[in-house]
Amino acid sequence: MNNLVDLLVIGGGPAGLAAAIKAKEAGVENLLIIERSEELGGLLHQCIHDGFGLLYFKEDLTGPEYGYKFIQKVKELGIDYLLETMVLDITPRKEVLAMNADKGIIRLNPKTIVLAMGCRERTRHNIHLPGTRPAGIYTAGTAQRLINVEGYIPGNRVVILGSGDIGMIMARRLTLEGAKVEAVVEILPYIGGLIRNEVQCLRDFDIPVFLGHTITEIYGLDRIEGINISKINENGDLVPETTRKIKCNTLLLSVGLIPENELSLNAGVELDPITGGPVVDEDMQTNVPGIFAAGNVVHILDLVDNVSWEAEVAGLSATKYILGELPPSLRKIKVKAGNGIKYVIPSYISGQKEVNLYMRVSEPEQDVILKVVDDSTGRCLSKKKLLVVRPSEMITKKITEKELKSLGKRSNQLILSCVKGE
Amino acid sequence: MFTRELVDVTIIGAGVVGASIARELSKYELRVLLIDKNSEVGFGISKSSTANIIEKGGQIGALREGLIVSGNKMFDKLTKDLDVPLKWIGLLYLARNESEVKSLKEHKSNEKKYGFVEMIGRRELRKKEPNIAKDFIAALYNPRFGVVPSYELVPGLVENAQKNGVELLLDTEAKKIYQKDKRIIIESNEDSINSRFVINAAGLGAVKIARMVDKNISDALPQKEVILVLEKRTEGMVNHGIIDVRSGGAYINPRCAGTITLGMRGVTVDRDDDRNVPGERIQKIVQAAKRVIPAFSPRDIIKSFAGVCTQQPTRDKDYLIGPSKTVSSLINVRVGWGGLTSSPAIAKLVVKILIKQGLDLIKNPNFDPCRQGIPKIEELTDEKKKQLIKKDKRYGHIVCRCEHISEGEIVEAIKRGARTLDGVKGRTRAGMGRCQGGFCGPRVLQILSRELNLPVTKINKKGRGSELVRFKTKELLEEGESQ
Repeated sequence: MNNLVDLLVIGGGPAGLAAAIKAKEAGVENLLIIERSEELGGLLHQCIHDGFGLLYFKEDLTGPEYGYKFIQKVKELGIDYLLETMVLDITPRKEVLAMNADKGIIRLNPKTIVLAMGCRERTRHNIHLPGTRPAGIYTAGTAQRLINVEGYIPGNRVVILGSGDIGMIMARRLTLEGAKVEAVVEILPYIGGLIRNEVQCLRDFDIPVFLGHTITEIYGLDRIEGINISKINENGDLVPETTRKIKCNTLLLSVGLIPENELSLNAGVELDPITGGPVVDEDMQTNVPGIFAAGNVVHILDLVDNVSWEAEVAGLSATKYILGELPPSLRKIKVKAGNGIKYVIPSYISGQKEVNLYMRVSEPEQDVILKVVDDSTGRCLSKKKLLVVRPSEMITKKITEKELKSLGKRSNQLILSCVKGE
Repeated sequence: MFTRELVDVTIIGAGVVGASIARELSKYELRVLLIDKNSEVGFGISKSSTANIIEKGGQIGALREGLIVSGNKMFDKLTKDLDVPLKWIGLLYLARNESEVKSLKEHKSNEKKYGFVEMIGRRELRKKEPNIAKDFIAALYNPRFGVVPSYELVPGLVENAQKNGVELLLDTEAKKIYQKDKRIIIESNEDSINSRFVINAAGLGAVKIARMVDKNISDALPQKEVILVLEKRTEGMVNHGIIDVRSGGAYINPRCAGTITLGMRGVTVDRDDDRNVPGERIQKIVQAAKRVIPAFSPRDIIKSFAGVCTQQPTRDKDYLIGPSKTVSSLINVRVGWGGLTSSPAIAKLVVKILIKQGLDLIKNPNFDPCRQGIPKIEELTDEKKKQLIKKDKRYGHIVCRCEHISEGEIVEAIKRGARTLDGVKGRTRAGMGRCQGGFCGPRVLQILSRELNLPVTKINKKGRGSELVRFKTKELLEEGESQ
């Protein structure tokens, strides 16, 4: 490794690995991945369940198997990487400060950076959960690491708050380990994660699910002893008559993920208030020229397969940037979320080339039409009928070059909407 | 029961008051024992207090006022000696209208009661706090208001006291106290402790301890405060401590570590172990804080907790410090709000009381007032970072991502006495950031297990009964099979 780095990839999880591989294959010579953990692969190591790679590899793989394929490729291609290395700072001029035990202080000034730091879990404090602060309360991902990587089970009577995918997967995992999952409690009237996890992790194991409920009290001073749950009515108020106590010695939280962008902020990268991730264009470039981003650091994706594809775009764009082949980002056309859509990635497109839009809906719905409308003319560029949409499942919409050609001259905004079809 | 050798003074309670007394006594040639029922020092009131250095507080008892005023002046030297952060941020009492301005002016005219204060107008207020809501027209400013991390201060005091000869016993709860042959005996869960004098600095447990020798001790109901911590991203949004008297005594304090704490005047509760954080309270505090700084977002909350403090033990809201009426070798130190600020002055007062009670003091010629804090890798210059990592590689290995705390710091904290996850957290800040230990928790658990040579299932969060993981994988299945 030398200090002349063309592309620095921050984060050696699925996004970082895919971006690095793509860049190397496309001709980037001086490439470095910095990973803060003990090994490459990120959170895939603790995801020992299957369902990975169905789209990308057309194979049903476990998390570690999916990760292994990428890690092997990184090694085959001879891509440099540093483990247990923490990036402490990035400046808007792409000056990077990192640190590890062997090299001490590392200063780099790469031509391009791909941000691939992933995300962190929402904690009980982020959702303002009331009650005491005893031991035995973990985020689902932390519990997953404890069980699957370290070999320890937090407790044998478990309640899970939130029905995100990790929460449901942990409900099954703990049941298989002989623990009793007393309840999965979800504040929304529907399950938060993927349908396949609802079926395979909850229903198949007869795990009691309380939809439209939340935790109103936590008992226990040293170790959690129990919780109260109550129903929430349509106005979002608690219904006290419905309060019930559930005894437990462990509480897991699966209440959402937050893109981890503290470094991005230092680098002057603009963040989107909805996704919490960088505002990117179709090349996955941020507002800071030469800084790209991909994966859960941009927005929380549903499947790792989508992470890999998105990261390949970032890797390829960084390569073009280094080779001087990437046209400057003009951020010509804004892509905006309209009715029924929570957010769309990317936020800006050039209108010059075919693009894949990733989006999530705000509410579950049936028989809807997804429309892409040119805001200046009101013309519908493209539409797609969808039978079922759920916030947990990302929707991908391709806009072809032909469709983009029909854009008006003064068009500067596309609006995506997803509403009941007529 | 094992009887320990006679000591001159035993202090019950290793919070900020007990630890300060221990350190003060270590300046003399005495055998001093500091005991605490918790597994770590500073795990009572000190653990979850607002940790502000205040000046005066209006209508308060004379003893308390004197101790707060003199304590305040001791903090510069104290924190310098102990290598603990301290920031004089100054305090602003806000006024929205002319009648509030008038009442603040009355405070100003009564400096004797309120300490040095200065009235500042709208423009000056905006200059000091650019993000403040438009409706505030003036403020009373007191520069002698500071913040100190109590979770660093207490270990600092104790480490320094230990260095100068004080012995520390943790997980040791006084169950019974009585006088016998001019000795005072404490029977604890562990052993029998003989002392010439006992200092009751048990904080929330002080009434219980005092009653062990004197039934006529009246109750002091505990007061609970809910405190919210905002993430470091908010650093700079406020520069001073701020009090909005009208909004239920809502306060905002920027901390040394770059976070901001929000709170409100406490409420009286029945139980001193009431650590419940009610959801409505969180909402109220957020609303009150937003009335002062509209840009605050509930999204920035990374932690909420409840701290319980004792109320002033006397009717005229004063401290009660002195020998027990029945056993004069038991010195009760019963304090309330302002305890942290007054702690160094209380320690000096207790020494005086001990002299009066017949304790002879000879200066400890080897007393060293200085203690070095655990090096904070993040705060060092590049050159210093390099040197430290060269000396001990583990300082180059970041374990806590959010706060950038290295393995070296964690190991050092354990060497200095941390035995629990929260103990490591207090001494290093590992796990105090935005992910609240989600990432570093399992890793700190492994480091504790390795350094203390204990199985992971025996490591706990904050003391006995708060084990973090109960079983190994497959263990529950084996149990099932054998049934």
